[in-house]
Amino acid sequence: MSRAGLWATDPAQAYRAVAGALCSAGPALLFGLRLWAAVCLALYIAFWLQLDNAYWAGTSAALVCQPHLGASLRKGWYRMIGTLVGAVAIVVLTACFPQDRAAFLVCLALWGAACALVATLLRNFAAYSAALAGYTAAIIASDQLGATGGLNGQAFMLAVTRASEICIGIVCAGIVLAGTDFGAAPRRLVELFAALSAEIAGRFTGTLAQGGSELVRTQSVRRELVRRVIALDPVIDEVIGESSRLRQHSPVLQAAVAGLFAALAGWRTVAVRLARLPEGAARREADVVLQHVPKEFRSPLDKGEATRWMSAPIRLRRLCDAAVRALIDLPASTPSLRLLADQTAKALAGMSHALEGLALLVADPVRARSRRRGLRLRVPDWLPSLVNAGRAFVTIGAVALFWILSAWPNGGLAVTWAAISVILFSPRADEAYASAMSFMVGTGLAAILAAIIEFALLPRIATFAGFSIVMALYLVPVGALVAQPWRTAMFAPMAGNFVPLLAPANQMTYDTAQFYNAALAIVAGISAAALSFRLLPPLPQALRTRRLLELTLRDLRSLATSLTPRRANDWEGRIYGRLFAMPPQAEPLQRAQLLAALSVGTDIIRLRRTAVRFDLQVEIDAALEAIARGESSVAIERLARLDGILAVLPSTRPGARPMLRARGGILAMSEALAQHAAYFDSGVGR
Amino acid sequence: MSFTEVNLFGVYVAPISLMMVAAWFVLIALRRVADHFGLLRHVWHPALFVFAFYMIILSSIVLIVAR
Repeated sequence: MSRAGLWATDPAQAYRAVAGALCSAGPALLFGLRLWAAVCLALYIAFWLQLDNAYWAGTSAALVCQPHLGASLRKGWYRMIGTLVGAVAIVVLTACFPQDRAAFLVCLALWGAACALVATLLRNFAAYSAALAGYTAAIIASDQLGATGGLNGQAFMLAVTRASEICIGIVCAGIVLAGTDFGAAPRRLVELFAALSAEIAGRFTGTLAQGGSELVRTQSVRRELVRRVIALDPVIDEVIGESSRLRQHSPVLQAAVAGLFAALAGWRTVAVRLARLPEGAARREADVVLQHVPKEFRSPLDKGEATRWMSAPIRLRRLCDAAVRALIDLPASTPSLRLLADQTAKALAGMSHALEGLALLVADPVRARSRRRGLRLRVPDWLPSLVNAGRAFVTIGAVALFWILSAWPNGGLAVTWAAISVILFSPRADEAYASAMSFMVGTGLAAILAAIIEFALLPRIATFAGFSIVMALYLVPVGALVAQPWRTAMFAPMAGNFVPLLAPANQMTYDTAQFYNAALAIVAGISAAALSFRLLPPLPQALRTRRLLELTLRDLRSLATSLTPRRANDWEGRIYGRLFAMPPQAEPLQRAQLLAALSVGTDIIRLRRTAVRFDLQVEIDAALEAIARGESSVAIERLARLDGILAVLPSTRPGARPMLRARGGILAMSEALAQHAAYFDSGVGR
Repeated sequence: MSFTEVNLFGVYVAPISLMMVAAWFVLIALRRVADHFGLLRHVWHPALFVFAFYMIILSSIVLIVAR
């Protein structure tokens, strides 16, 4: 039956259908209203202050508005930082090259390249901030450059004006969003944390209960869980944006994520060990370990499990810590049992960190400000960043050169938009070209609609109230489209780029030729960036994944041969960084290989310490040298010899427990080397 | 030389923009032909090749109009 027919035959049902559709579209429309309110407030203040280029305040408000409150606030902070850095950079550049157009443009392209490099190295909104620093400089440069690139010396005032307008936009968006949206990111993160922790704990204890008989099935489950843990990172960023209290304790949340990785690594080692033991022995040893795992962690997986974790994280954490102590003190007669107890303790210690994060989110315990470990940037791989930097330099330089040679009056605007697109989309790797194309289509549509509004509607409007109503006609529906999942990459620039295209001012001028030329320059600049992604494409995801594995293997081999003592935390941090940098399309096996390298590296660091204590450096060096040469079978053989030497040491000798622990480590290392021999023996890293 | 601005629905647009659009349509047609015969498979960098071809078409149009 058609909708018209439904209204005729059953108006009540038709009314319910319409009400249902409106209810489901409610959040999206609400976001559209917020976007409109933020833009209008920012423009009103900028007009009231009689700022030049007041539209940048409205643009900034539109760009900061995100469907999630935490994302908006976080983006706002980073936008402010990026703008200030970019403004300072362009003032310095102008001061350095006041009379030298060529040097100025080359340095501008170099600055854009540097920002593209940093944007690729960083993650989430920090990357956005770096990108913004790059194109803020380009925006201010285009404002102060003459028709063909000569400087007019207004950089300082332009930088101050732009930075002020951007800050006005960010504050207005923050006020509107924080006043109308109470945020749901912590709740979302709690649910994700609780679901993941409960699932990892349940499945891990399930492996122990079954005596490791289902290794292959748990492998695929674990690899999927690794992917889900990696996906927590942007949600944590949103949570930090929403709550200043949680921002103070962000290291606890980061430690919680690292704890989940540690739990997965411990589970992997336990599962492999149990699978290699004879069935009876595996069940016997698993039972011994399982007795020390609290009952609360042994529940079968069901939907209510996550709720139980959310309701009592502090109590569960205490149980977890007690179990860790009991497992570390567990008297073990064999290296295998020692290994199982230690790895279970490691997994539970990881769960304890995750529960601490959960407690921070739900139970709100009073705590001192968490100590930051200091910012340390670990670069997973330099090559993608260098490629992006090279592309940004070539693109900005080429468009600037075209502008100067063609004496195109709007060329400066094209340079700006080429810089914006090439820097902003560089970190998106495989999606960069598609994103740039969607950005271009969205901006093109926004230009057409802005032209209609500017030349058909605005000339009839004389008041700000009327102007706001016209803005609502565009921004509310477009904002609602941004908040839904379909083609967001196209609708987001339609919302964000509408205000700069319309360029509302206190005294509007309606010049069709000027509008057309500006719109053409913007689309041309974005097209140049899109073209650059085709001509200088990002590294394919398969190559990036392979490089991450190769670099990890190279680091592992260098760790095996290095005589300088290393810290396990540094090694773990480096591998977690690579896990985060893995493209989403990477094979689960490739993530498992990284986890195996993580365990082997940690075991090497611990084994070196034990070797010093028992005066076995020569034997351990021989085994590790084989790992460094990519000869896993030889390494396993030498590790077995080392295990034999440790086994004959009298158990009454001091340090019997560390000795057994070292033998457990040898066992875990041998099993990881055997399981992923193809990876550890590959010649690529040599 | 006939590089005068073109009146497009009341808006005077630069002739190069119309030539760029025309060159793009020609490129689409040629690209279909190339795809049909699988010619791009034999090219080292297809995107660079297509871009170079676009520049050739655009330059040809500019030269023809300039005559």
